[in-house]
Amino acid sequence: MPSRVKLFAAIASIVALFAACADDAQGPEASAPGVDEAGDGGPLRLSLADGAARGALAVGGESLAFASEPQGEGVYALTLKVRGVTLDATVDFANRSSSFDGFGAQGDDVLLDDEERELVAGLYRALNDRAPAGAPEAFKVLRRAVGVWAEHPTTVPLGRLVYGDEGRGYTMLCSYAKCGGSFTGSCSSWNWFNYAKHDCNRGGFDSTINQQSAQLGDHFTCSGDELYFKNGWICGEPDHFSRPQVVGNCFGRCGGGCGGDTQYTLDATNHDGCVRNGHVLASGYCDDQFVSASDDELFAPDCY
Amino acid sequence: MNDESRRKPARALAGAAALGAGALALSFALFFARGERPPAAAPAAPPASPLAEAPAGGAVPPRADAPVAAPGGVGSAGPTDEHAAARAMPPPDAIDTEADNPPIAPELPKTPAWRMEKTRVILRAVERRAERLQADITALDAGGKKAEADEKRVLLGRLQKQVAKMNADIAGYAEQIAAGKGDVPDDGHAHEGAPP
Repeated sequence: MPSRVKLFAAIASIVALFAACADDAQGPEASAPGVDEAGDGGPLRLSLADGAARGALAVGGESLAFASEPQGEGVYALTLKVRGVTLDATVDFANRSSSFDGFGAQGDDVLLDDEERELVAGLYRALNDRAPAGAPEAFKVLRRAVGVWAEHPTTVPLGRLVYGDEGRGYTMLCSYAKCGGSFTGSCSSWNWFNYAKHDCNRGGFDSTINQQSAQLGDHFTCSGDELYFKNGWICGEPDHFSRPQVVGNCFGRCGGGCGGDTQYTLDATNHDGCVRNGHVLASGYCDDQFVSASDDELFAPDCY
Repeated sequence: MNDESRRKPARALAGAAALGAGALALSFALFFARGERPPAAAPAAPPASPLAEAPAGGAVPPRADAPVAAPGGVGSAGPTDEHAAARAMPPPDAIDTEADNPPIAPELPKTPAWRMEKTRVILRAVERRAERLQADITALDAGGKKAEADEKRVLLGRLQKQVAKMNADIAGYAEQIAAGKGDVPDDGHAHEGAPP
C-alpha cells in the first residue's frame, strides 16, 4: 500500500510540473484556456472567449498565430502571422465589405509564396477539422478569411478590397449542389451544371476545352480527389478535355475541397473549373476566377 | 478598450490545469491499485466508401462490361482499388446542352455608385480600428512596452495607408457620379485594387 501511495504522489508531482509550464507553450494571442485541440497538421490551440477566436497552430516547426477580434456592429479585425508575414483583414460581415492586407515585419508589401500558402492551408484544414459547435461568428469569419488566404495566388496583391452582395458579386448555385434531391451522398440521378468555365492560355470562356459539365455538391470522392468521365470514371482531374463530366471533392464549393461552410456559387464553380482543369491551385491563369470568388467565400450564405 | 491588447493571467491557467491533472492522476492510480485495466476503446468502424452505393433504380442502366456496385459492396473491393470502384459508377447521362439548364439571371452591374457605398462602409470600419489601435499604442508607450508598441505601429501604418487609398477611390467614384456615370457599370480596373 505505501508503495502505491508513493507512486501516486510521484505521478501527481510530475503532472503538476508539466502543467505549470503550460503557459510557455501558448501562442501569442491564446490568452484564455478555451479549447485546445490537436489537428491533423499539428497541435491547434484555439480560444473562444469574449466573442473572439484566437490561437495558434504549430506545424513542422512553424507557428501560425491568429486572432479574430470583434470590433462591434458585425465588424471583425483578423490577423494571421506566418513566417514573418502578417495577413490582416478588417471585415464588416454584416454589410459584406472588407479590406485585406499583407505585409512584412517592416510594413513592406509582400506576396504569398507556395510554402506560406501551404502552411495557411494547413491551418484551414485544422480549423475545419476541429470547428467547435456553437462557435462565435468571429470563428466563422476567421475560417472563411483563412480559406481565402489558403488559395491566394502569388500573382494577386494581398492588399485589396473584397465586397459583394447576392446578385451583384455572388450568385448562389445551391440547387445544383443536389443530386437525387440531396446535398450529400451518392447520386440516384445526376443534376449537371453546364458549364464551369475559365479562360487561360488554352482559350477563352467559350472554348469547350475550358468548360466542364459538373455535378456540384458533396457527392463522392476518390482519395480526396474528384472523378471525371472519359470512357469510364477516372480518379483525378481532367486537363482541358472538351466538356468532360466531373464530380466529387465538393466541386463548386467555396474554400478548398469539402472544408469550410456549405456555400455553392457560380464564381466558386468557375474557380474549381480552372484550378481543377490542368492548372495548379495558385495558377496565374486562375487569378480572375479567384478574385471573383473571394467575396463569395467571405459573404455568401450556406446552402444547408 | 481594444481587444487586441487584453491578456489573462497565466498562473490561474496553470493552477487549474494542475488541479485537473492531479484528479486524472488519482483516478489512474486507483485503477492501477485495484488491478483493473481501463476498457479498451472499441475499434472504429471503417468509414463507408462514398462509392459504395449504386444509384438505386436510376434511369441509367449500368454498363454491361463493368462490375455493378452492390449496396455497400464496393467497399469490399479494397481501399486501393479506387479505379475499379470508380468504374462501378454508372455512365453519365447524355451530355446536356446549355438549353437543359434554366438560365441564370445575370448579376447586377457593379457601378461607381455601388462601389463607393461599399468602400465607405469598410472605410468607416478601418478608421475606427485605427483609432483604437492608436489608443493602444499610446498606452503601451506609456507602459514602456516598446516592442509591442512598435509592432502595432507597423499595423497602424498599414491601416492608415488603406484609409488613404480608400479616400482616393471614393473621390474617384464621386467624380464619375458627378459626371453622370454613377450607374454606368465599370470593369473594376478604373481604380487599382477595386474588385472586379
